[in-house]
Amino acid sequence: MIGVKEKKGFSLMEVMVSVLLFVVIIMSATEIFRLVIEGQRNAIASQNVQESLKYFFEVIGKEIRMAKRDNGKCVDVPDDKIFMLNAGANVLKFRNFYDECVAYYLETDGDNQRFKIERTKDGVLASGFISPDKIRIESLDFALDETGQPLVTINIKAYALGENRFKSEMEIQTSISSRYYQ
Amino acid sequence: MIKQLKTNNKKGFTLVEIIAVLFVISVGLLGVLSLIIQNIQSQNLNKNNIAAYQLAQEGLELVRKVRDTNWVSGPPVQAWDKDLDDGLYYMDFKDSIPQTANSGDGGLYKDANGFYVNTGGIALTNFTRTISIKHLGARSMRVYAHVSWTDRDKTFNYDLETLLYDWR
Repeated sequence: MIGVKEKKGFSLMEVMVSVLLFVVIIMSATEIFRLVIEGQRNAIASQNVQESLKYFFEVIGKEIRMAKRDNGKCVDVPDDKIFMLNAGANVLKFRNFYDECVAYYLETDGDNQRFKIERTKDGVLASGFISPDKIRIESLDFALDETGQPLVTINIKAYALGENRFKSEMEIQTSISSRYYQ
Repeated sequence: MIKQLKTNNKKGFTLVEIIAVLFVISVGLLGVLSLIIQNIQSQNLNKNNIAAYQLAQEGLELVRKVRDTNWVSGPPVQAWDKDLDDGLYYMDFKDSIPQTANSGDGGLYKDANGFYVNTGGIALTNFTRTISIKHLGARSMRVYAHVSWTDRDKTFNYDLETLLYDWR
């Protein structure tokens, strides 16, 4: 018994200090871990928004540059014009390089809004969304300047769906001048 | 008492050791934190870069439209570079020709429909765009679009350049 008592233990103070230290270190470690994960989610959300807007501009930019003056093939586009913009300035229609009648606009998809593209060739319609369902396209506005060579201006606001802090809202505008000369 | 004195002979940590340990730990934490902050900042930079790229591209397209309009206009046939003399300009999609810019000009505003414009806007945005034109010869010119913006008191730039010719 005497031998057992001689073993050295920890005093209450030592235990309390070490527990406190342990708690502080673990808490700061988890906090850093949480921040890293949050930053990562933020980065992914913002990358998704950037990617889908870049893709949209890639697709629409190429098609607008190559658009042809209408020859009566596309009923919605006035003859001898290249582009048609509706009164709300949010639907753009034209005849593309492959003689398809194309329309770009925003369409409601459940609670969400996404880019939609319609291509009609010889009366056959093909259409689909070209932005992911995780991204909300808040607005899509066009402006059309037909004095001289036509110029289409596109303005987009978009953000990632989900929690507000991972929204990473973006607004992009560009203009594209038609490459079609008669 | 004698026993206690003896047990107090245990070796502890010296102050220098403790400070060294704390230093190492805080350097580690600071490293991680600055990584997070940098990550967020570079996301922001990326975002602005994309918007600036599209605005710069718009600047080039606007000049191109002026040249193309000169081409298709007439009769009488216009010079291909009418209204495109050498100089520094600002121009938005509502302008039909470039506007001469003095220093400080070119700030982009939001108009009532949310479009970026130089004149007639409501709210000033972070972005400034100027366009400069320089002829290389009688039938070619170099066009620069320069977009700059500030973020946390730092100025960033995005420059695009294209050559326009009098060739159809």
